Amino acid sequence: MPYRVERNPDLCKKNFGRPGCCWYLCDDRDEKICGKCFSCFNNCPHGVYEIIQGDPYPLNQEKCVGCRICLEMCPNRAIEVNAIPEDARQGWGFPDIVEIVRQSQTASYKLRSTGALRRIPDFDDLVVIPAQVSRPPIDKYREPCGTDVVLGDRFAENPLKIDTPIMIGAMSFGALSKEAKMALAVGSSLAGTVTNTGEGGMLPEERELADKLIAQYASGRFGVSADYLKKGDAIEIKIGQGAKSGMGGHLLGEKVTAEVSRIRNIPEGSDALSPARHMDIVGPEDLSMKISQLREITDWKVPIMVKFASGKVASDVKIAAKGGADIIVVDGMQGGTGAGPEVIMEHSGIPSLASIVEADLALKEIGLRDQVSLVAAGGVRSGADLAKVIALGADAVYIATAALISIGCRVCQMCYTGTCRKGIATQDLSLRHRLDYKEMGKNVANYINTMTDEACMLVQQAGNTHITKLEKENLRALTLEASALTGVPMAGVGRI
Amino acid sequence: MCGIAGIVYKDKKLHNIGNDMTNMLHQLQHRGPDSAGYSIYGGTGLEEDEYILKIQVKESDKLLEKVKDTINFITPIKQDAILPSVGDSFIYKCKISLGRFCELKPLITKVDTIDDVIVINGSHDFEMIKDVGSVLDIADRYDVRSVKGTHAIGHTRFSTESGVDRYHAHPFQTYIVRDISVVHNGQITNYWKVRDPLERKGHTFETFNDTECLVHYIADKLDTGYTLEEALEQSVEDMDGPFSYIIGTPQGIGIAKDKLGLRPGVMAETDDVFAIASEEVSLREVVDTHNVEQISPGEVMVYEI
Amino acid sequence: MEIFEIDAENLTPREINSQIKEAASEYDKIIIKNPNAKHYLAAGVTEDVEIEFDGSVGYFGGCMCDGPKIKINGNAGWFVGDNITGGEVIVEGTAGDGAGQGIYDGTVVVRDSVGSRTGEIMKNGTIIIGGNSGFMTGIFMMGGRIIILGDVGDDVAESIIRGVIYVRGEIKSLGYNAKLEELTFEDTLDLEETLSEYDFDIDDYSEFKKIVPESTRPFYGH
Repeated sequence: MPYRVERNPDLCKKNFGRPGCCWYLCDDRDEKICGKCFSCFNNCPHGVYEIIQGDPYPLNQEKCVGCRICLEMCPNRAIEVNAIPEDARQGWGFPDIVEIVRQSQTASYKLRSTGALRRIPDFDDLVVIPAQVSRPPIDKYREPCGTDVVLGDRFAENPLKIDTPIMIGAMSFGALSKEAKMALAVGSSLAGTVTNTGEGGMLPEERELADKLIAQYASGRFGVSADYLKKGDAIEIKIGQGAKSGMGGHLLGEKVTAEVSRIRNIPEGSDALSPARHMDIVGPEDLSMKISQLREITDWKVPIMVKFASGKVASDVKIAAKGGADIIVVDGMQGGTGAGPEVIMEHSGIPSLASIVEADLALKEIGLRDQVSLVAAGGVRSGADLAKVIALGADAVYIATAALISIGCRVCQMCYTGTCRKGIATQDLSLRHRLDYKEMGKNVANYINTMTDEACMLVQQAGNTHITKLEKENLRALTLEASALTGVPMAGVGRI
Repeated sequence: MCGIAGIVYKDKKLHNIGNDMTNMLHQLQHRGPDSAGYSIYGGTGLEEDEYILKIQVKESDKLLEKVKDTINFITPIKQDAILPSVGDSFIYKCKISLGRFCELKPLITKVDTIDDVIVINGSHDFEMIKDVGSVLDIADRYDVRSVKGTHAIGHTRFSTESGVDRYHAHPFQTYIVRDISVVHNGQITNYWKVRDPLERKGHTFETFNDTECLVHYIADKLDTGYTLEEALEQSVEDMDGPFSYIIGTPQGIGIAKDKLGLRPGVMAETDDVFAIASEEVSLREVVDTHNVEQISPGEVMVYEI
Repeated sequence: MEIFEIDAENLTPREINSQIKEAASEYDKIIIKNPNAKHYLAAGVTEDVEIEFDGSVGYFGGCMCDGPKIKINGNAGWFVGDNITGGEVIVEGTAGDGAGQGIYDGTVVVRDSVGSRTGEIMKNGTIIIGGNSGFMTGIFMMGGRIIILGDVGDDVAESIIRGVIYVRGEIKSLGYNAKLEELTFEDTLDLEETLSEYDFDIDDYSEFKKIVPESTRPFYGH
């Protein structure tokens, strides 16, 4: 919304003598026969551009979210997108007004993708303090930093053993394209970690390409069978997700292509309903019995995980732990989704850094912290975030939005339209061809490995030799909010 | 949330009901690992004016003396015993006499004013045993298997939002009407709307636990002339949220289930026994029949002897 | 026929299931004595084997199976036959709530009555109830058939989007998006074929009422 988009008309026509050619769509460009493709106009997910007398103009500036896909796709680099400062009307800023007008005209709430985007206390408000002489820093070049993690060894015969604490989160086939799922699978294997099916069933290609795969068990039970569960290296019972807890979903028939329907085990073109909650989980004893049921089906071989949206974290975590969960996942409000009401994303849930501290403490209070593994999710972007989350009390993290960005996503927040210009959140074959799953798989692995390296550097200079050994005492807060939410002391001698 | 069970011997004679209920609850242990409790009716063998008090006392010098003095000031302690438990407190059990039932609550309130002392229950026709830990541990700790009675209700607890301690375990009782207790599986979601008018009528709530409001609600109805069955039927209309709960009275037991049927309840009956529980696996401990009836949403069942 | 017998009296569900799954590939039929209403029995069995329980099972009996023919000579608790993808589960007595929940294929039969929410979220397959079925039978149904020989409770087929429910007894009330439709001759032939396969003897198939979804997209108003 507060962005200025400009197209330079001279640069635009530099190479082809006419407005920007959508070279992305052409395998065989022939200037004599092809018309004007308007790369910016075609690729903008929000309809910012309009064609006036044969030229594209960024007329609808208020629709721009700053994804800069137009900029990326322009072969002549003729586009500029600049963020402009918000106006001085605090509660009645331009974006607020645009939304009220839109609601008045369309009688509909705003649906979009991703998670909470507004400014909330997050990992950037914390720092790691380096060791000097009170304890020695570890030499990055000569002394090792361990990164391997074992999750879920409470009851399972085969706990999850991964080379880095970064795991790829749940995103369903159906929400994502096959190529995107395959890229994530390849990336997870190259990086020695694990990925997650999401709630749309298990693609055979995904199972083949991923060394380790978590099978998610959500309220709609799509694609679920004994075979599906047994093929997983862990089972994740999804109670909620950070972006939208307790909402349920309705996947429209148009999105259920032949392949999507086959993997979900429902008829092609039919709507798919996910109830707002598991019909058979009403209270804690039900969750306990569900965990036992899935364990019996999979012969006690693999860890059973429970994933929560961050709400009454302490109560939920205690219930899951007492109910027998091997691994518990808490998803903060920054956690993303393919489609959800904005009001829920922005105003329901708590920030990840608060939820992980609450979960860690809750497990300690019932004496189960060393038996149950804790995974944090929601808004992890870098090695710094990883190190801080581990220090706050997690054993591992999920990345999802970040993993998509590494394979081409630009957070335009229009996943639900199914016209993802990067071929990620779409079933349209012409768009999916833009995603080379092998190349993008390497991207994901590069990103995960680099994040792990970054985290290691922070860990080592704090004086530890393994990522999991970094403690909350190694952190300091730079803001009052982050300190109050996490219990991390303020930097220096500041106390609240 | 939790597991509940109830059993009535139709012949009104004393049976090994402590043993029966322990077995029933043990089969429901997976529904509640935090704590367990029993209300065992009919076997106390007390005189008409006698009551048993069970008081949680912190291990502390002179605290027990203070408790005894407070009670003796109002009425002499006729018999007492100390029951060791877990944590930093023990249970002090004593037998007393009172002229009228309405004197019980003021005595209990007096004892409650002492720091680190909580009266767990005060009853005439039933014995309440509840504590933190597994069913079998509690059964051993208090020798429940040797307690006899005519009917009983029991509970295994999985705490949701309130604390895990002896006092928050079920059963809960009220002192408005004598010897009414409740065990509950579920969550009353309009708790405050139910609690508020009852408090104004004089009911005293000790916790923020939603189960407590059930027993006060039923006692209030019984006090204003409803039968147990009518009171339970009315509760199905007035309570919101998932619930299956059992009320124990000196005459028998009754169960009520919410209108959406979100919490389980099954019943089995023979010539000798009437039993209800969350799951059939619990009924099988005391009843050898395959004739198990599901309790329907919004349904109420009462058995009185 | 190679038969394997298990005495479940003092075994945990884990031990019982372990024995069942081991025997499933070697034997044709497995009989389990004294199941005593324990939970999760015969969970996730995928071999083509006959399994018979001489007594009642607890919750999730025969859940997520794919192929076995399971017979329960007593009652079942909640969610019997949950999410099966093939085969059959037959209960001679009563069952609790959620019988045949989320099934993808196969048949779940309960000869006596069942509790509430029978066949909820089912995608395909067949459920036959010999007695009555309770509140919100067929809620969120997405395919398949439910056949009830007795009465059915309030709000049957609540929010149904695909599938069909046949009721021979009384219908207390219809749920959101459910409507009654004329029974066709093909329907009666279909019912006769299915019901006689499971030894249900019906005099007059025209007594059945048929419930189908009003709209396939009840939440979007298209």
